[in-house]
Amino acid sequence: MNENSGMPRGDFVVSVILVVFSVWVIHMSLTMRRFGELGLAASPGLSPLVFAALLLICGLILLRRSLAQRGYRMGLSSRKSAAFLRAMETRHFVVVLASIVIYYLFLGVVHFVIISAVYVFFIIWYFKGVAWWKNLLISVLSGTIIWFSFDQVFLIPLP
Amino acid sequence: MLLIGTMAVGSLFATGRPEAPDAEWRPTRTITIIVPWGAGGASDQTARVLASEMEGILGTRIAIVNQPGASGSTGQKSAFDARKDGYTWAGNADASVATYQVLDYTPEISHRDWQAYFAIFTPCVITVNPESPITDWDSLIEAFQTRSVDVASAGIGAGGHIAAEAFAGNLGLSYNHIPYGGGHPAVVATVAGETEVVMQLSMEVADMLRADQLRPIAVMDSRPLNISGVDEIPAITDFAPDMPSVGFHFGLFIPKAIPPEAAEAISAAFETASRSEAIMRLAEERGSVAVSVQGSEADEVMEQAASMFGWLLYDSGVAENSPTQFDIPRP
Amino acid sequence: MGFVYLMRETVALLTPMDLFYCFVAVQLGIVFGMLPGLTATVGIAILTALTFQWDPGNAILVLIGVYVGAIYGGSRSAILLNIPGTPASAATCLDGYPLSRSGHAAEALGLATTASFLGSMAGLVALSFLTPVLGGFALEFKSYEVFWLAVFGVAICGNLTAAGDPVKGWVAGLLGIMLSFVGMETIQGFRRFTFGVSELMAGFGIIPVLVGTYGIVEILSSLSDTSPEQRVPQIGRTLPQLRDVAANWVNIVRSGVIGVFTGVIPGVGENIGSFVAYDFAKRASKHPEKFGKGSIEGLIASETGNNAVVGGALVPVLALAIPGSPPAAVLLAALFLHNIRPGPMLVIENPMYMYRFSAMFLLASFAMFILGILIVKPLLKLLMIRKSIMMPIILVLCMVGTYAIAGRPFDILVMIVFGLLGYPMRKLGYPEAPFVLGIILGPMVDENLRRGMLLSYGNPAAFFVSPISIALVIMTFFTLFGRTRAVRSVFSIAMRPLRSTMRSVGRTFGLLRRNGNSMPPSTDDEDDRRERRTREESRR
Repeated sequence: MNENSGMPRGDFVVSVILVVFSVWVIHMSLTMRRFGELGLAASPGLSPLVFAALLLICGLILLRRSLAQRGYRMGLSSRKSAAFLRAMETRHFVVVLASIVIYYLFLGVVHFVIISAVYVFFIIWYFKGVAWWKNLLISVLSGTIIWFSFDQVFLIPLP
Repeated sequence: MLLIGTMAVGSLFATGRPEAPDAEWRPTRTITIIVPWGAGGASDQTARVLASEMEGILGTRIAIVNQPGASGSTGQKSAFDARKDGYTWAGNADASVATYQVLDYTPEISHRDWQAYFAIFTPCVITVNPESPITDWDSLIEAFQTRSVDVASAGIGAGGHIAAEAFAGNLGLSYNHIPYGGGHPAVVATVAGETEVVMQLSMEVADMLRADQLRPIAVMDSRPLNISGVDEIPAITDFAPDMPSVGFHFGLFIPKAIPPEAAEAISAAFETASRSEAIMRLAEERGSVAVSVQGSEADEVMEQAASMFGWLLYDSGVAENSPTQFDIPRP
Repeated sequence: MGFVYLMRETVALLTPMDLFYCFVAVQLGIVFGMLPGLTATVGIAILTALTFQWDPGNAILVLIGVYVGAIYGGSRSAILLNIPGTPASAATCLDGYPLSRSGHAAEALGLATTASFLGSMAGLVALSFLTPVLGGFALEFKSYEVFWLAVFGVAICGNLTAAGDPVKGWVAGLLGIMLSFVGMETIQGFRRFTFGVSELMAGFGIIPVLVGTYGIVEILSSLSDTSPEQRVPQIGRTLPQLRDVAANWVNIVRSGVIGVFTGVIPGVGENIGSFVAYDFAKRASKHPEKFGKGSIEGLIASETGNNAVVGGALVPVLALAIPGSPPAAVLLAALFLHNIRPGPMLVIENPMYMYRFSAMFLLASFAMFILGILIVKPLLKLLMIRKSIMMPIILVLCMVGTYAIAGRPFDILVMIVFGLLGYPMRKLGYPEAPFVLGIILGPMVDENLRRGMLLSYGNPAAFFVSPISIALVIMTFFTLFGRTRAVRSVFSIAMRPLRSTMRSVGRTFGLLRRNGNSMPPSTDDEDDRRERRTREESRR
């Protein structure tokens, strides 16, 4: 297990991203403003420089390892990617993510109880959790209880 | 189930909602005070005491939200960006709010946009580690002249930094500035002997002075400072007559653009709250002075703070924007 | 003598009213701790406001109860849902969740409760009897020492992975550190990597990041998982076998001591304490390969560690009026607001208060233990709820908890973005725990490194002067190079004479992985049980 994470392709992609990212951070931190006569030794860029260098080393280790396992062979084919896009998992992921983003966008625009209840209702409905009336009960109740205990009792601000 | 349990338990705390007396503006929902610093700091404590006093007078509950980060500018900005209906306040200090523009943190919000309500004044005190060879004013000056003295502060633009800048600038001295993440860490570092001098607010050093963990040299004010349990701390003007006073006023900040009747009600409530026993006690314990400053008097304090702190920061190269850009006159 | 005082104060607290307040407060704390986003800090701050007008005695009791309860409560959601309620429980996830997945949720919850209680007892000993001694120790940790402590924290990132791939642990940790640099830094007030976005000035808060990388990722992955949901039948008893606890006594004592010391150091809190305790347990364990896959030792270490921090963090509060952790800072403020002045003057003015305070802590720990064991069974029902009903409600709670920290909508956005970043990270085998630890450590490393440079006028030699610094450097060294086989062999040749002495030192603290005799033999029992478990699983 130690020298082989079992996903050379993923490692290859990540290591390339890491190397590029850390080189960019190194560049940024070297050009960061310096204060006082100590120069780099006390500049805000010092720590980003050091840790980006360490990240670069880690990235290179990963890169070498994935190259040794021929991780650069992506083996991407149009059929595979089409299957990936059509997969149930991908679709669920997109729906869940989109619903979270929409929920976020409507927070503060629509009253918290309403938007939360609608969100919970939608997810339970989409995944065919329970009968609609139970669903309605769950979503409205959870939204109201959360709102009541936070906003009214503990004076925690809600969006 | 669990949530219902929470609610039941929570309602225990919810009881005792205070009754509203006859005020023109009656808040109908919870007022929020955004404290743009961490819980437990000077701004936070002042705001909490004021809030608990004003809750009864205004007849509503007041929630405190800590929104720390970026020297308080982010939280101060979100208090400003909220609807200006008198339900969102900020709890901060004059020197911070007055320098957000010159420091380029929130150049679009002027300190003149805020109506300040100050309840606590706390001057900066020059203190040293008790093992330091510095024992009085003369040895302090001598130390600064002959060697590089490490001066701790709560960070750029914090009370201790501005006090040190004023001190060194006025006397033509130099020092090694060591910034920390807050007033408390800076004071602790001096107690622990990592740094030799700290010039933070009296509020932050009071207990260390009482326990002889720090030695006071002078207060950065024209009047001597009395902290219970500590000998009177001499005023810095006794030694250097031209030295400016450096101190912070803590209190509430409410946008001037709120409805006038709301401002009136808040002003009346603050007047009572700032003279309450709780504020007196807070001031006494934390080695500071209870004040009750609002209206044009508070504007005056803000102007002075903007001019003094703004120019000090600009002249020392810390602030990016010139105070003249914002019509802030040189002191 | 101290013990008599402590008992006297405890008996004085045993009134029905005080007990009621204490249990209510601890229960509230547990709920705060369980909810993603709401932490001990927020809980104490909220309760400070609500108990402001109360009699100081009751108010402080309530606040201590919330503190103890919240740090413990975080482990509930960590074990059951793989979402740590507070950052302090991130290390608990590593082993608690796998245990619950394999049908041992009751056992894990019960063990975590016991471990938390024992951790609290370690904290209590420190608080009531060692406060003057440890208070002085807190002042020994200056910029150089805290810097090395943070570096040590970075080094253990490689050990916090289940996959046994330290590089991925370090990558995750380093990424966390890089992201923590976004925003205005403390030393010069310079805005790093903000690109003119004013919201970024305050940086990424630990809570939005934590809730994003655990909560959102969990919601995304469990809802998009198409394989039919299977409910794992839960077996095992709630009250842990005395044998399990006894077999781990070295582990518990070690984690307790680590927790207390981490707590005492100003500004270093529960979050780091549990990780360090976990790392030490893994190093000392006979079965380090089980860590991250449901190791009882790991669970105990993390939970003992984080609750021991609570007591430790209150030591400098009482002794020096310096908070040892962020929640302790709020508690300190509350003490001031209630006219109690802790600090060096306390011993002179009100010497008995230390014992009263400890007695409150003792009472809260017992309340935590009792309530903790009692709520295990109801909590197990959570596992019976279908994911498609549970997850949307958890998301609403994540949103609320994240927003509650500072009332900033931007934090919710941060949470979602980190969820999006965390999802591929989890799929590709990059562990969340070091990532979160990196976010905590980043500012610590940065600030103290540069402050040290300012203090020493740019001379790095100053970092290697104090004994604590050197000890931490050695620990870091062994953490990094004790693992890699290549480096280890090189060093064994170069440092053969030194090694034997180091080993004897290291053995005491479990620094070396190969120290056979420090663990009690009964871990073999665990071995058997583990085998049984796998057999059961394969049957299913």
